[in-house]
Amino acid sequence: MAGRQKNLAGRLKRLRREGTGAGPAGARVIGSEPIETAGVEPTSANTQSSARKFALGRLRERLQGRGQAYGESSSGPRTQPTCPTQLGPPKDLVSWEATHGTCQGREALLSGTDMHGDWRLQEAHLADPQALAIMAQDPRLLAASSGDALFLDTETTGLAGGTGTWVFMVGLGRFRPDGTFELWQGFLPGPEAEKPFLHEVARRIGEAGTLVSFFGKSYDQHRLLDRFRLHGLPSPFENRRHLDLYHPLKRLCGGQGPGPYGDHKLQTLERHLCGHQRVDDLPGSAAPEAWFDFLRGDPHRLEGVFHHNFLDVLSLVTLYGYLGQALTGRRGDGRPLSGSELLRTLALVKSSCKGRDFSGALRLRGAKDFPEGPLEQVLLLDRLRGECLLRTGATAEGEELLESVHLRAQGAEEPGERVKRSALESAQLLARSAAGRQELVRAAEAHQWAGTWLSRWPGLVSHQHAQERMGIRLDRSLLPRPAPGA
Amino acid sequence: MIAGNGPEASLKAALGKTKRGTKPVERIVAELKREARWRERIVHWHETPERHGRQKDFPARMAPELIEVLRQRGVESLRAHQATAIEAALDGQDVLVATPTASGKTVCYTVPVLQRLLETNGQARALFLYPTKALAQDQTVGLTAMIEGLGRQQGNQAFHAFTYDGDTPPSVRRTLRDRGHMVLTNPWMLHQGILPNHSKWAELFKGLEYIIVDEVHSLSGVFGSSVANVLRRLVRIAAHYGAHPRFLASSATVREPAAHAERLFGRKVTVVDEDASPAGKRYFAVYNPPLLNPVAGLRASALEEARKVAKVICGSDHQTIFFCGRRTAVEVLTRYLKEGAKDMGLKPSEIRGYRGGYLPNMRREIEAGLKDGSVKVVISTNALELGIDIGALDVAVLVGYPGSQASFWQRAGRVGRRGGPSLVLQLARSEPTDQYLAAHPEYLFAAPRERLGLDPDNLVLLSEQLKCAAFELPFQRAEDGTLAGDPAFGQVPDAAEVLSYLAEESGFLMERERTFFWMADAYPAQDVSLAGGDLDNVLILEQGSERALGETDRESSLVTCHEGAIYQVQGVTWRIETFDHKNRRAYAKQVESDYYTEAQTDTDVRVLRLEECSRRDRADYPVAQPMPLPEGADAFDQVGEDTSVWRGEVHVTTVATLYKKIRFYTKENVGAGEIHLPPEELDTEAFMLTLSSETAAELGASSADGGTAWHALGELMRSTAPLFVRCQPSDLGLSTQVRSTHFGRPTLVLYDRVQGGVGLSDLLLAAQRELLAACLDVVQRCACERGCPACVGPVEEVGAEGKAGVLRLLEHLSKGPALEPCEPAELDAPEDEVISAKDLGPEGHVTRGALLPE
Ligand SMILES: [Zn+2]
Repeated sequence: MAGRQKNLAGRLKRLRREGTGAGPAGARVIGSEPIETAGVEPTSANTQSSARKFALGRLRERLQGRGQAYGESSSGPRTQPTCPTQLGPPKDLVSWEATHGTCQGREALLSGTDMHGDWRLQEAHLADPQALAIMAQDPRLLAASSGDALFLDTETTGLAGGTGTWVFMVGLGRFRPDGTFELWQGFLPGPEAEKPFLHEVARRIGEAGTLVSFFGKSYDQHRLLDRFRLHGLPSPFENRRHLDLYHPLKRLCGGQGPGPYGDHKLQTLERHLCGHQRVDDLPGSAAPEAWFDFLRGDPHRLEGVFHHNFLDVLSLVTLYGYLGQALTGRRGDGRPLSGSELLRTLALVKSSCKGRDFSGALRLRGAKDFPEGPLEQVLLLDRLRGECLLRTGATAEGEELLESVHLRAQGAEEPGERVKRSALESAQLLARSAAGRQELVRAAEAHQWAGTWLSRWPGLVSHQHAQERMGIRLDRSLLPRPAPGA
Repeated sequence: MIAGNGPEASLKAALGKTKRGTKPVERIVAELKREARWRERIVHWHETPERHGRQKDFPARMAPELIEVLRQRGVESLRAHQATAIEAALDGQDVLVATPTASGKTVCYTVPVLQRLLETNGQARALFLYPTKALAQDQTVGLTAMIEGLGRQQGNQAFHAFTYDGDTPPSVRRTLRDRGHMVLTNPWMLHQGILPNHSKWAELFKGLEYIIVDEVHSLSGVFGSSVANVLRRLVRIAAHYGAHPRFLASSATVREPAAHAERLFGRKVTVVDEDASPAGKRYFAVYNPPLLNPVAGLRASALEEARKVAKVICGSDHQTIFFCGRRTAVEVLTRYLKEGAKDMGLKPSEIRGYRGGYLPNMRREIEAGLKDGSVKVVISTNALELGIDIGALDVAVLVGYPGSQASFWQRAGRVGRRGGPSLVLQLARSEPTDQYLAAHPEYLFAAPRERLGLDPDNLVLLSEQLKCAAFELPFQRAEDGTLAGDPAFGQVPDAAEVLSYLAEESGFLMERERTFFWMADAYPAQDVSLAGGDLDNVLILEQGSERALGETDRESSLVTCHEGAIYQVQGVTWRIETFDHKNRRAYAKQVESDYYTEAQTDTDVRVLRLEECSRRDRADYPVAQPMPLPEGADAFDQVGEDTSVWRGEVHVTTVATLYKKIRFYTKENVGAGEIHLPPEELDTEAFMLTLSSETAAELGASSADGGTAWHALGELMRSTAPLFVRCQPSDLGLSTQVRSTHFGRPTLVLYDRVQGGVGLSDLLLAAQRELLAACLDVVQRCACERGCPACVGPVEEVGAEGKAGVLRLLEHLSKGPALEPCEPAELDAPEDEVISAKDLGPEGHVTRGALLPE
């Protein structure tokens, strides 16, 4: 048997071409003429797979960006970690008996006054639920408070999902009534111990009022759900408030495209917004191997994973606090938030408009001007404010503001694409408003401005359609009607 | 297809009769038989009389409301085979229905599924697998119509049938997973989407009662062997949720359908293969284009003949379908026929092409036009061969043999309205298989002779699939270390060892407490292709833009992707600038080239292990007319071995050394270059044929000319093999040697070009005698004098004596007593003796390149 097995292993190694750099080979479909599928399938699985690969690559980039390459020195001063990093080797893990068997994990208690970056943990208590709800575009968050929040971050064995992807660490942080911060890290010591681990995690999630995560709605939640389902556990996420900080913070920092901080990864944001500089952090992408090594009896990197997960959870707390101050723009002690105020205002106005709360958007320091801001941002803000004014009945004020957007854009030297877009949209809004009031000449004038802008920037299909519709409308209203019966 | 029975069908039947009184098909047949120019071209007529079907009552168990739905769709009773299949399926048996196209196979599996849905009050689930996305969508429409019929009279819970494929929007997927009673998908989605995420599909798996696998004859070779493993994974996951589904499968008529299904499903199945459906009179004609140049064996082109005969067989009172092998042929013939529409009494718009690459809307429009009769002529690739519902037509023209009997019958099955006559015209090309069939049309009508190659236990495929299976659920070893407890892989030889290997050597798995857990940061199904290692294929990209120009398999990349190679796509020439061998990418630049390149390769086949052997002695069958011996030499004794055939494992090394630049048209040699690429290595299984030195000398196979004939014989066997083994010639590699290092005598090796092999060598060994006889027949009958592409190859390649040499070999090898099985005398070569190309000395015996040009 042993000899045969050795023989088989040799054959397999040869057949699988392992060690040659090329994957297992073969050629093409044998024995059947490839079926002409009229432009469809067999290959669609492959194209789908390449699309999937691409999507996975993107996800990988986004998530791996939570960590930088291990040991790579990051820009900016190297600061000493302000939170305890010496949490002890993994042997300090404690085991306890839970409902479905033995669980492993570790728990740290931090004071509310402990610093993470230049923020104290307890600043999370000052977060304004209205800011959270507007920026996350989720009115249910109006009921959120730091007291009932559970900060969640998982470590998994891969980004692809599927039943073969394990969740082996779950960090859950919450404030206790006495103001201390409890950071529990559940750990899966081996695949055979998954059941009690998951039950414990599900129980804790089930006690949370609001879940707070970073990209968790798209990722962590699904990985956990896959595991829960596999063990027949009901979903603890059902009907639970969930604040995923990723999208609101991305909006707050410039939205689409590269913001002032390049990407919108957790570590970039915590560095720029909360002043936290990680030192010798194990990158998240190394976590799967660290766990596999541990299972194979080599726990050397596991402490790094615990630490990484620990810092991720603390960043959730400070970023939650930061987001919660988006409306005031000031921290508890009166210091301004770091980051661009103009961008923040823009994001708030945009989010309010999206939630169709136009008067709310105007109340959001909408009256404030940003004379020194970059033109493209200033004009966008004014174009949004102009629209809000129109929609709330302040027609004259709104039209005036929209016209000024057009004029300022006209005065700009080499206006960028975004400037042109704001000008075009302002002119179109203005035309529509004037036409609505039967101010046809003014409408025609604005329509012409919009046409000029369209000739300088082609616009999107929606812009072109709007332009066409307005043209037809004006033609009909301005041209003398044919006499009846003619 | 259920629709075949519907009210539309009777409408179609009515369409079949013309206002002029004579049925169009009868008129066409009469004309083809009368006119001299067609009489001399049509070498064979075959007619099957009208047949009345055998009907049976609905099984007693069938719910009245289900019977009512069938009645509403025009089904008053079942055909006998349908009733048998339905009863067996409801009885809990695994069933394979192997009857021709249009025999009503869909009813055989939709009825049991709907019956169980009614009996379980909507708890039962069924998964339908179709070989293409289009088929699944087509069938969903039919199923939904039946469900609606049920719902209307029942007023009870509605059942749902959904297509799940790459186009299914994510927003619908969740509903589909939880609420789809019947999920219609394809093997690729099952492999990459459903199984790796089975926990999301728990509702489907918990109630899974039936797995429907359509068109199982298309599941052979690497693809079929991979799908067999996907089905093992499916059974395993279902068992995890407590379900033990049955297989309901359909197939075109194939050789030994039961054995094929058993290998595919891993269990015995009940085969229903008696076709009890009624059929009209059918005419089959085999049409051989005339010889233009008998010396060179050159015949008129089949496409050109199709155009000529179209004038007779196309018309406004009936529908005609042409099947072509290539997309370009479809385009060319469509243009010809549209140009000549007037002569046929048609409008150009009534003539349509149909092939892959057309937009879905256009395809739907053509399909509808075929169904309602507004399209009179359609020219298609094999895209219309599978069961897309286009109704039944009247005349089918097959331009060239489609490569397998199953395909022939699928295409022929496209014609034949109920009660009306139909005509199938098979046009022969100048190729050995087509010419063999022109001479032996009975082959088409006899019991299927092709063997389907399927080897789910191929180690490469098995190990890849076990990775996917382990990702889905851990594997548990039994006390004795085997996987005996596993519901699907328990009986698979070597499965436990492969898992150990994956744990210890590859590191994908981890074994803890006798359980193998998936432990890797990967999603294996994404990297495992069902069609073999297309990860290894080489992509040819435009330099700079990275636009994909084409793809080629690993072995062929040696001759098509080396630096300096001219790569041709639709008449445009590209020169390969760089070949990134490691990353499997070649970069090409468009050039105006007046030459093409031809690479020379040396293929070395090293025998690793011989597993089976048959032989015969010289005494049993002396060479009839030995070649004259050199002056003074003694005649050989009639002792020892005459010839032998073998099957075994081989290691194939292919090295490309040089390439020649050859001017288009004039074919003059205008330069050459060296190729610097690492050799391609392949471990696979092979069929081998040897001659003893004495017999070889007597047959003239030892000389230089003899070596050429020996190789030509190999080429002929390779191109004729698809008549007996389900494969394409390009699935087989060829190497011939006049003096093999292993056997020391003339040896001809046909190897499976898939790493590890998928059973083609087994099939070749079993079919070798039939194959050699067919080869002899082809050469004997060919009109050419000294060789042509339709037999041994053109004179320029095989030499003036080539045809005679091949004939001499075949006369001896295909006649006389059969070979007797014996023990392979040679011992296994030890594993570590595998040589790599670098060990090949200059004397390393090499043979002519065995690669087919792309
Ligand atoms: Zn010939």
